[in-house]
Amino acid sequence: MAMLDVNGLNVYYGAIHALHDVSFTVEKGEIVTLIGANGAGKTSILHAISRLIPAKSGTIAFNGQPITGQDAYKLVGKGLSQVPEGRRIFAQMTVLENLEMGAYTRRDKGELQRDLDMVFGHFPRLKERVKQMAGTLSGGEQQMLATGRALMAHPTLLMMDEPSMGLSPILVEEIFAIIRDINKEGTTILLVEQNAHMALSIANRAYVLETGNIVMEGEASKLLNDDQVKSAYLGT
Amino acid sequence: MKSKLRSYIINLSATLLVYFVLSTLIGSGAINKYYASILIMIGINVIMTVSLNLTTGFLGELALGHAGFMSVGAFTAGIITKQLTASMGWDAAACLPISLLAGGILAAVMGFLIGVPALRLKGDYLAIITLGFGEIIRVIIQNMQITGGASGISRIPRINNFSITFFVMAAVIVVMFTLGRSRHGRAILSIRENAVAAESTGISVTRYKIFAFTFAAFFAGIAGGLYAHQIGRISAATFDFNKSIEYLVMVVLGGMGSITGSIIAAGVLTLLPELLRQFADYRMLLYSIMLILMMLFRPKGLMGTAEFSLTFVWDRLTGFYKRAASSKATPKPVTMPDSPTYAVKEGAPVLETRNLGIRFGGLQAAEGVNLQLFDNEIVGLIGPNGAGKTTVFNMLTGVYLPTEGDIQLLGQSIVGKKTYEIVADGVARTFQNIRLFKSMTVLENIKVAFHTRMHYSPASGIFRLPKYAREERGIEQRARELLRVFNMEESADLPADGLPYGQQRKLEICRALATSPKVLLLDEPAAGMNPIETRELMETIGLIRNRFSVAILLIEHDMKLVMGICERIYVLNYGRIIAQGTPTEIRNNPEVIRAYLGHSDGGVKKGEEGEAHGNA
Repeated sequence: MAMLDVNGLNVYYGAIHALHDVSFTVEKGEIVTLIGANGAGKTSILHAISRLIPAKSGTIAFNGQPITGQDAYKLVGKGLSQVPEGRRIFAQMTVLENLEMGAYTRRDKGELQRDLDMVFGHFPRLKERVKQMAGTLSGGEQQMLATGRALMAHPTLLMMDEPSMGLSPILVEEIFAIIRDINKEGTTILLVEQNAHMALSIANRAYVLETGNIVMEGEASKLLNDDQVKSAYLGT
Repeated sequence: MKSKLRSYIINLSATLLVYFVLSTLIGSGAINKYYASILIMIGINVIMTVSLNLTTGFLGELALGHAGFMSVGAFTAGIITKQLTASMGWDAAACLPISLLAGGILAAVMGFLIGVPALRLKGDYLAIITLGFGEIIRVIIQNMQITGGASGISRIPRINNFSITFFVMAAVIVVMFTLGRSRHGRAILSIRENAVAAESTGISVTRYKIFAFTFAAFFAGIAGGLYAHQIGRISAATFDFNKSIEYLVMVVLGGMGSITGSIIAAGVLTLLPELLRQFADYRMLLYSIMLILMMLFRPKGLMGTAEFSLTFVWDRLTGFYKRAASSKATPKPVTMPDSPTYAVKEGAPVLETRNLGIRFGGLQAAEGVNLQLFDNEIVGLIGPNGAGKTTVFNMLTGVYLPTEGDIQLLGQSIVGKKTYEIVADGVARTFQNIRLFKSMTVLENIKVAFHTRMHYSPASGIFRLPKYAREERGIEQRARELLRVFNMEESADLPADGLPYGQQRKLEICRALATSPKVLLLDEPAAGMNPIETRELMETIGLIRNRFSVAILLIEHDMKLVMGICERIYVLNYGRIIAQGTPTEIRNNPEVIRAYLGHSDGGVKKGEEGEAHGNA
């Protein structure tokens, strides 16, 4: 049984048909990446899964249970967490409070300090700014915070929407190393990235989206060397 | 132009037709006195609603004291008419224009006074101020001798009638429409859409907030004057908080930002309580339920931000559009709005910072920053996250006031200038997180940015004087040309937020260029773009430098882009410049590698890097 099973998903924005019969799976322990141009529907898929936008038809099952009719906030408690695009941090809270909010649904509060140390280990920059209002962080720092906050929820499935956006080259490498690390520690990952090269290098499998349709799928390492993918998404 | 004339004729005929039908019905007694007075109240409420829509709908600031301005107008007009007729023996009808105008002007003064706090406040805080202000007006009027204290004033000559109300209302509506379609109306709209972006495209947000408040208050004052001469007796208690809320409800119900919506809502909500009279006690309950239902099913109001266009309906009915499309008009030559000429000194930088620094409380965000940007150069500003790159941009554009050092643009210091003034001086920017005027069309987004290069006055815009027509035609053409250069012409009439992400970034650059800058600051233009889109962006930036004669300073983490198109690069870390030089020098600088790049290829794979293209 797949951890995440999306079947025949259709999403509309008003009259615009944003996702056409999208079906894909994510198995436990995998890193799966969705790649495609801007506007292809990658973020729409994540939003449909986390119930931030309604699906017109289709089913989404998480650990075998349909989640199609459930509220967004309840999913976090079930182990499904998302790093949203565009750094939606709590601007009027401190960095520390933001991270604590990430652990909101968890019951094992004793682990909190250990997890904070883990996040600060990944992002020393956040530790320097722990008492600063999150809204005053730079764009890239907010991106780190959004990722850190999602990690605090200890999700079993983590969905990441462009985690490398706005990060310096050194941190882009770092963030992909982090993704690999948390995956090794047991978190399954669904990754949306513009940096298709990096995404394909760390993923097990990938799906390619074009104008709301899945047009290609396969092992990430194979897609990385596919001529069509190369010319359309890797720019080589 | 011809189609404009047609539209004038259609609307004028329709207005006159409505007037003649209604006034004939009233004259013949088919509409009795009671219903005639309701019609007049509708007219007055339309003026109130349409004017409140200017601040709440178009400007986007919640105003909770609109009845206060009406009150000022009512008392001023009532007192003046009474005085002139009683002590000077004037004919009451002759007094009316003077009293109405005086009422409007005094209300406008009040509107101006309330607009001044808008200098510093916005949103909920400003709403509370308008609320307080409305109450203050009420209390003052209730306690003044001249306004008759708590009992108010009575026996104001009841000289208002349907014709006067109708034509004043029509005039107010026309003024609102023409104002809304002038550069001043666009400026007000752009503030609602995104105040930060508006300021950065050369619009003085403060000035236009005050302008909108003053203007709205003026019309509310006139409506008050009409009301006083309609009812004949006024007391301050009439114009209380509830009255303000009533008008706010009309605006929201009609659609914030739709004038026709306001007209319909004012009509419906004035009529509804009267029609429900037979239900006696349940009247207000039914009224409230209807309101709730309407908001549930049409959360953006009846009209949203859309307008109902008679011309459009007429064209549909008569099939005019087909004919118009087949006859292609040749565009007349137009006078362009001024493009500024920049005096660039040979060999001197166009933009230079000297020892620039800023401290936020205990945090030194930037220190000793010396940047030089020469004409036609493309220069990169890179550095770790949180190094202070955007902070430098914010100082260059007047968003932050530096605590140390100087910024020189073409040899003149721009420190201390306001953001919109710096735009006029020739510095334009884009934002890391895209800030477009989302619900405006692509073309309108560009037009807003021409604001600083246009000159016609609000009066010229309202009355559509030749200067208005000339400049508007000029920017229409220029805006379309600009879109053509960037291959975006076909999207001209789409709402900006309907564009794909990459196009939105391009539109933001386009908008910045429309301000005719000498210096263009791009904040992470490639963020969120895939390699293919980034490559297109690189071509676009090259094109801009060649066609628009600007110097470009860009912040970017995509090393392929930075190393590919920048001639020089500055590296910022912890607010200080740690290195500067050519892409090759930067790539091999050990400190930069350690702090930023990670390894010497900096994310650029072997064989892909292009040296700086020179001026090619």
